[in-house]
Amino acid sequence: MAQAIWQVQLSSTPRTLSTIRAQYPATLRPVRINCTGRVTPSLIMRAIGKGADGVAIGA
Amino acid sequence: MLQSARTPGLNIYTYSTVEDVEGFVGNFKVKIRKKARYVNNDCNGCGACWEVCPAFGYNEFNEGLDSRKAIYSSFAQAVPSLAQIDMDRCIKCELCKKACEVEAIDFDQEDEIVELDIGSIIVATGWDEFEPPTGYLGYNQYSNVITQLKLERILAPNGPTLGHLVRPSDGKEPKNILFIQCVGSRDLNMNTYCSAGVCCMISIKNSKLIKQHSPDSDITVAYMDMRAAGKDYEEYFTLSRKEGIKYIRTNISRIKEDPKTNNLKIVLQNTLSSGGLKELEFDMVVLSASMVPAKGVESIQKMLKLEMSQDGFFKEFHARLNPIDTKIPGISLAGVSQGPKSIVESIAQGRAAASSLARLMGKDKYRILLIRAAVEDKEKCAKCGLCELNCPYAAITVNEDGAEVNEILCRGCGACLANCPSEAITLRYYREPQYEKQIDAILEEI
Repeated sequence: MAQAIWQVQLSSTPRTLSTIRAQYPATLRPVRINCTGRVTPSLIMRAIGKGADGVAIGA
Repeated sequence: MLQSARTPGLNIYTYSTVEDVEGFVGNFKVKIRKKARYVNNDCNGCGACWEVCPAFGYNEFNEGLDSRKAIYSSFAQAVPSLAQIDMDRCIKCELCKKACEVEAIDFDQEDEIVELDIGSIIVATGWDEFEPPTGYLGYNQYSNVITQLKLERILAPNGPTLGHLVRPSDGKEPKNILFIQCVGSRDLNMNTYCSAGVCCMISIKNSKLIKQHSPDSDITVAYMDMRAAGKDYEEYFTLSRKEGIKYIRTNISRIKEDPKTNNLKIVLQNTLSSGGLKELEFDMVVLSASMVPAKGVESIQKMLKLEMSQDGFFKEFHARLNPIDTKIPGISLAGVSQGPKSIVESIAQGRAAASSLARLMGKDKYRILLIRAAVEDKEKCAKCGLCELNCPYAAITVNEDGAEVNEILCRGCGACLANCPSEAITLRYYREPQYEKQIDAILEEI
């Protein structure tokens, strides 16, 4: 039961889950992107197609 | 101002607006519209013209306390010292033209567009005073309710009353004065921000000034907090209390006017004492209105494609680590354009902006990361224009060959890529196959 989480690491405001030291389960897999504008429906569907339970897009 | 006007190499365009800005850092092309003054540069500001002019207009500089002529100088110390004609008010009698000894008046003058090549830009558009809605605390309704800027002009030695404190209704000197703080600021219904303690200090300054001229005046300041944070500010505040200026912590909700005397009646309660409600009467009420972004910032924002913060001021690169630059390289902010601040901070920020841009422009080259959009396969491009439409930095132009990316304006966000139906445009270092492999690897064990 894995979830892929997309993390946005903007060059001006690095605020990933690691920076705020939040505890999150191992089933949450972060993927670094430059800007949420980069996320396309095809990428989300690919993740879900490959078995992810969901995709969360973080700011 | 005079010193900057005399600085060689510093060109000042007054009575002008910025019409258009194109380009990018180091290579901006700016169009400035110099509005016609109908007076040419031979004018020496002698004032012979406005002596004879029969038409009047609203004097913006004196907050409408007095009038000026249709031909006038913005204010006594205007730089450059040139007259200008307000054509909405001019009756074209040409008496000014006859009075002018240097023949500086030219009714045929037209607006002039100047095109400049600019390397970097500092946005220092300043602020306007918040205008309370009519009826709010009696503003624009009762003649003796005024704002701080009006009071400043009344107290100014070169102002319409030559510095004598008079109140609008009858021209008498008000003895009993109330200052109301936080008008249009710290207010969920108007502006939620605080004007950085500027209005607090203005009230203290003006109270001390009035008290100095008339030691028998009775001045009260109604505040929520007195924000005297700055060098020597707290000591200044303490001094004003020693001089007998009263500070009452209270929120004023309503003001009533006595129609016979035009005095103002207010019911208030000092929240720091157990005294209960009191009705007080004042000769004049001064509203400490907040700072708001200057009129016309929306057009600057559109031209430069800058972001605005929630409070309506320009958005800085980083609220804590870089309040000077913007996210657009080559454009920096100075003064209240970035947010309310006092003179001290405005100067510090102005110098910081100049220094930041000088550093940038001092180098011959400008370095960028290659994380930029690129059209790698021009044949795939259908020239639909969706990329151009969606680019928040206007970095893409579509011509007959296909989409073209300006690599300096591009900031590598990828919005173009996400919208391209032909997958013709891609983002270097963040391509589709790279992400596909990442997702596959992460979810491999499933």
